[in-house]
Amino acid sequence: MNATLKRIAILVAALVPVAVIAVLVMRDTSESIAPSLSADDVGKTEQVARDRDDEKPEPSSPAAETGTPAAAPVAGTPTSVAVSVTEAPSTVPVTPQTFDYTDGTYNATGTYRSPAGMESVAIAVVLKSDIVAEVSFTGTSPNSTSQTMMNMFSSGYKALVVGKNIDDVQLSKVSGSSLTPQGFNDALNAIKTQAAV
Amino acid sequence: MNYRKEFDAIGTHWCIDLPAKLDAQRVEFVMGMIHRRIEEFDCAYSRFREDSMVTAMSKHCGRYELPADAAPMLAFYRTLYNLTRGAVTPLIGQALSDAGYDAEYSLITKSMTSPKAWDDVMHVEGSMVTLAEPVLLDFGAAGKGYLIDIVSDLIEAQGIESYCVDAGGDMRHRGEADEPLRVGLENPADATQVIGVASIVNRSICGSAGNRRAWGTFTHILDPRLLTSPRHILAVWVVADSTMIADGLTTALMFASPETLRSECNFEYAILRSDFSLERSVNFPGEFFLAS
Repeated sequence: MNATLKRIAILVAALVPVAVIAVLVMRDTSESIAPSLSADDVGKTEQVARDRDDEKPEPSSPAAETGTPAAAPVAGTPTSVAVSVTEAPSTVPVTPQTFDYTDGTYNATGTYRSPAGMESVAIAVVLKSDIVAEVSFTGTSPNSTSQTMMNMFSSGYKALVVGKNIDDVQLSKVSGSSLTPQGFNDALNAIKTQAAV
Repeated sequence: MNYRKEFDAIGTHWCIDLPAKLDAQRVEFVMGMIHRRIEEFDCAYSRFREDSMVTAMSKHCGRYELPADAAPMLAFYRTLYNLTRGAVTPLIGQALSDAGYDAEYSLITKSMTSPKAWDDVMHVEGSMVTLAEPVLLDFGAAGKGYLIDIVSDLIEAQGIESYCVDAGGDMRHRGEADEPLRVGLENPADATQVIGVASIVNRSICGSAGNRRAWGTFTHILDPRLLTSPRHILAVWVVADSTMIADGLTTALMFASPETLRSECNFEYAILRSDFSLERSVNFPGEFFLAS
């Protein structure tokens, strides 16, 4: 199956178990029913994405023409994950290309049973040229403990990095973009000079 | 590591560290060999020089017997070509040149066309290449890493077991396990900063980012299908046992998922996306400075 979609599936699969962990943590303070989501359910989550792989909307499909969201099959209860196209292709590339997936924002919602009741988490994946360009996570719950757990997860699933000054870090080498020869730098400066108003 | 030899070659800055215990004459002898070998490589594969084999291939079709060292590189390019569904291709040379990254560094963009399919233009058997039409090849994706491996092998053939060969931030290290090379991962938005530190022992690390070789809307990496430079990824670092593999995968990761590439190659990676979010393999040997 296509690796890009597999990654989305992994993302979806990764999100739901963490929500389960949040629920498990909560069990310490509240003896209640066990979370209903199992590893099998996570597998189903991935299966939905796999199904989509086979049933990806063609540009000429009625769904794409009318803009009607194309619903994917729903996995078995109690966990349901629905994937729908909410955005039509936004760009029409000039050069011919062969991408497996239509550009756009794809949403998936996972539901699970917590001690406080049914909870849901949603992720949105922006696909551009078969590449996951952006991922966002939303979890809303009227229960404050659930909300805290969701917030904790939301801040951790996507690590943001910052720069530190080279002088403040003990290093033997630096790796990044390759140093450029003087000729390239001269040419670049010449262009900048020409471009300057 | 007392000897540090620095020089410019193949369009970047080299820095070779050799152990202090070697005598100076021996170091000069080894460095002489290295310079000759780099010149030989450049003479075969550089599209920036008029006398290279690659330039000759851009003018006449036919059968070319490349140096024996071409075989592993061409085989690896074919692997990357297949894994990225044609996005990493040595046939990108003309499009890069037309984008402005040409022998004169004109940085002036002309009319560009997507490269043709590999099998339509080129037949490879070992180091023998048959061209159906003249074509400008570019070995920028993995060539430098491969040359670092060749230079390193040359050093090892002299019985030197600890060293570091660094070409513009791509490097191979050999040495004691308790003395890892601490490699800063440059912040593509600010070259006075690093976003993390990799710890390298007896392996290679290569990085790719578009912040230095950039003009107009282009960087030195070109998507052959869209004829634009990828902008969703700011930088990629790859750690692998071979520098050629590490180097080639930094470009391949701009176009294919790590999972796809791992079906054929063994490596660790870190990908910095345009929103400064970081995706890394679990065993990437290093630490990152996370936003609080």
